[in-house]
Amino acid sequence: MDELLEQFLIEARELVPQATAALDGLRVEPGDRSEIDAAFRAVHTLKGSVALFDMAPAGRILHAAEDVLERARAGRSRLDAASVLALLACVDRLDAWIDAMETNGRLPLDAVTEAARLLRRLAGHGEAENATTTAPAETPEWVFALIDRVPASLRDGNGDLVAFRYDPDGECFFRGDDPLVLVAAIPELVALDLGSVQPWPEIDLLDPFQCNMRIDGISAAPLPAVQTALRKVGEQAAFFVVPRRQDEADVAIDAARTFRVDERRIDLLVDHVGALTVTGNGLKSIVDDAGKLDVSLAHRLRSFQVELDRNVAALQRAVTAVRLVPVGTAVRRLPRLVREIADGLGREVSFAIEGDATEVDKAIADRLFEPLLHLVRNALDHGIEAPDRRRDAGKPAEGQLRLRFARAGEKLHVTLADDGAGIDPARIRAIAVARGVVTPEAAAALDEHGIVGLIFAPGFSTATEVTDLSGRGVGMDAVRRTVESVGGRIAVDSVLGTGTTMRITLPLSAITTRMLVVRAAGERYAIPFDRIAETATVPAARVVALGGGEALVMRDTTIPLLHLAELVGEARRDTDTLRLVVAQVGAERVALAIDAFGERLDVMVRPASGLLATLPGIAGTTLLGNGEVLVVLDPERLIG
Amino acid sequence: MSVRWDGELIRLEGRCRIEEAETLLALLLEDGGRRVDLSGCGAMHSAVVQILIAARPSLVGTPDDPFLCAHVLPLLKP
Repeated sequence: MDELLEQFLIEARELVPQATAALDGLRVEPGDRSEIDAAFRAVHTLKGSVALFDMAPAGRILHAAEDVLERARAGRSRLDAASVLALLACVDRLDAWIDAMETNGRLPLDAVTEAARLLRRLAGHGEAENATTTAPAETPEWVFALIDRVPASLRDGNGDLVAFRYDPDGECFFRGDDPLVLVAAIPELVALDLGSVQPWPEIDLLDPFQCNMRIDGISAAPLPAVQTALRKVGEQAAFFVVPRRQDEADVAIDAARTFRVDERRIDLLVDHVGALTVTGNGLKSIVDDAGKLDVSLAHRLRSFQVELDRNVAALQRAVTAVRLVPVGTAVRRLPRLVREIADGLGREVSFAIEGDATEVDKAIADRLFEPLLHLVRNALDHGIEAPDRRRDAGKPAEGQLRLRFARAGEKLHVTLADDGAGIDPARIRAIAVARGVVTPEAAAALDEHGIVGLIFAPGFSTATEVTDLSGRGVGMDAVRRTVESVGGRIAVDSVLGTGTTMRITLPLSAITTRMLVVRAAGERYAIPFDRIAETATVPAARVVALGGGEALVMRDTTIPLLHLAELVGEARRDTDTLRLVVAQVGAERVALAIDAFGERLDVMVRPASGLLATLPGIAGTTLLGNGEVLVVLDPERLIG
Repeated sequence: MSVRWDGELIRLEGRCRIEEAETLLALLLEDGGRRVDLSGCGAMHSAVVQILIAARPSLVGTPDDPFLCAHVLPLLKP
């Protein structure tokens, strides 16, 4: 992705919540000066940022929003509840457009009309008391659509742009007029559109000598020059002056004591620290060897090696701390999505987030959003009832949805609680049995809590619950998988009629290990990178018999060759070329033949349990986001 | 100068005047799938452009006229 856009996405996603928070405050206290200032600053900065991209409709709504806030700041008009809601709608829309810029690199197709709608809404409410500057609302929508076609470099600068709409009269061809010849003579024409006054008929009904063309255009020349060029056509042409955007004096923004670092640089740092740890470990065995030759030298070496260990450990902690981010950054889009989903479902809901400043590893934070969005959607869809049903049940019409983050030791507790209808164990039992998730006997043996927990079982959710939000079918078992893939757990508590609470427990820091995926005997395995000295592809002819086994010479050293397929108890496949993973086992190197190299992954390794734990050479398992479980090999134990 | 069907393409050549709009329309009505070659076209009357907008035939080549090239041609492409 374009670096500038990347930077913009980061910045915009910090500014949007600032604006939203300030506007939320203004909903309660519309006259709060500090909130007005905060909203103004965020909107102003956003306006400056979107100007760098092809986001003209966003620029227009931000410009108008800024005007409304500016007037409120100067005391020229008062914000009322309706204008605060209109401002909030603008910021919500912008938030969605920021997502669109990330996904598609462009605004959605309806952005122009959506912006026009928001401008009308802002104008209707925010500018009621000060009707002198309603230019955006008076400018027709087609002008905005056309301005978006003007090359970005011409959209900014001094002076105005002149938009014109020329509807040549139907008989003009008979009079000898050639409308496009007139338009071609307009100075500094920067955009043109040809439409029709009436919809085009089928071409067999088209009268070739009747003019039905509509000519819209934009010129960068002054208005009189444009009018002169079209003087001859009189009333058939209309003109609109559109101010170009100008850079305004920047509003003082608090100088930040932080600066941004590309995430990849941090990851690189983590990798290097990991490599340093490995080097340090290697030194330890060398020091041991040295002790056999010279005790006093070994003693001095050891004190340095201990010092090195200590420093590397400190470095590791410091680097880990750099990766910590406030968990709130992961869920900053949730408040908007809650409003949108609640609107779509006809729910009234108050959504609150607590403890969003709690810091967690970025890898964890990044994985949180999807499952939380799914849980939130479920809470709004299946949990919180429609307002009339809530009233019937003696509850307030507005439902409560609370997302809470709290730290306990090395764990992060995430709870999402709603005061909705709760989960009906009888219904869950029936569905689980009907879908074959459990046998009727097993279901009968479960208590209510156990029954409700079945919602996380694979096969419980069906395709009918595919959500349009995440764009793919995610059931609760996918939520559980995602949580477990970062070493977390999820549980549910529900009281029928009173509400549901989802509890997620996550490690604060994700200890991920870089793995190489390899294929052998039809299965995929992961090998930790720090155990791999090198990978190579060599002709099978280089293999020589050695003792009872095989070996080959690599870098002037003879190293033993083993076949991964045989090590996992399968038949090996002989080929002309060998794909090798050379593993470092203590001071020795061993070549491991595999069938194919796969991708590289950063994953969390879970200790092997059950049957796997009894097998030699297995370091553990790792659960991928797609549900695939990979066996992680430990070459040392595999070979030893 | 002229609008003519050469058995493969409808060719617009030279300066296409208002009366050529009718010829162009007739050629497109015979077969809506015909392609229109603009490479020999020096200028087009608005009435001719109007036929191209309303009928949206596939186009080949670019006209000589800079205004048509810069502003009108992009609007005629599908």
